[in-house]
Amino acid sequence: MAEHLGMLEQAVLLALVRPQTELGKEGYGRAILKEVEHRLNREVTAGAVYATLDRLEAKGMVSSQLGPGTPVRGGRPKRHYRIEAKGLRALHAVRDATARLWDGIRLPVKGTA
Amino acid sequence: MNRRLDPIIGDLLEEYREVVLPVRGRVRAMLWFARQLASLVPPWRWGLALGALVGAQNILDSYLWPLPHDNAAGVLALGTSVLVAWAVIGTSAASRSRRLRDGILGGAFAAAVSMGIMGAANFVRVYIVLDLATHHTTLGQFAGGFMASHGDALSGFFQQEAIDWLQGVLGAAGLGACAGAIGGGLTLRRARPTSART
Repeated sequence: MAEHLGMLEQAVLLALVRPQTELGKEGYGRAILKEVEHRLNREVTAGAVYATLDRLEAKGMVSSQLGPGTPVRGGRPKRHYRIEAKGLRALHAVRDATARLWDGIRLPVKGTA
Repeated sequence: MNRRLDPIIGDLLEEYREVVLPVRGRVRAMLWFARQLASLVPPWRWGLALGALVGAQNILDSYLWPLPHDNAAGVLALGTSVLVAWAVIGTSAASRSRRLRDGILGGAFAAAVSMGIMGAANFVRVYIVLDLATHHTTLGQFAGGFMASHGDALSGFFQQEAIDWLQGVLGAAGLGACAGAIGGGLTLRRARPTSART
């Protein structure tokens, strides 16, 4: 059975698969946070995204490695993330499950039901 | 610095210097930074820290002023600040996951942990003042409490005190859950879309 993915987990994985912002393409923590906020269209705290990244890494869905720091970061390194095959499989499974769920359903026009 | 935390602090510094500080100004930017740092700490650790803080304050007070009379204003101030702290912890938990349930659980858990530690500190406090109480009216009050309980043995009276403490912890967890629900509910209601901020 496919592993369950919460909304934030999906947003983080999708941010790594296909970033929609220039910063998002860099794939490090802050870039992912901005990308997730862009996708969800709401403010997300850093703690929520980093806890999700840690959880996904523990599940083997993403991996990370440290890169060099910059002066604006006080020389602190960047942690770059990439999605792993297991993460991609989980995303496919979620999309298939959602498609099955909505199969054949036509909702009335919004507000007229 | 924790190797795991280093890149996260770097990310926050980058966002702070490049985006938040120029747009929000120093004070609001500092508040933003503090909020982001607080969001990195799981709610149960906040409960642990709060319990340790209140417990340590209790023990220190007992050491400095061993046998004070309870002061209504002091008790009210402590109770209010602890309730507010539980609400803040619930808020933090709800804003992490966007679920009211986590706000309630965060508040309840923080309350149980903090009151558990505070209760344990209370036992230490009793131990600290026990010898001093030998020659004080408090001992008479304690003995009066024991007599009024119609118990057979002092150990049984102490066990009842421990059971009362446990009930207090559970009651506090309920209060914490309410505080977390209020904090979490408020934070979810006022959630802003990203376009409305910086």
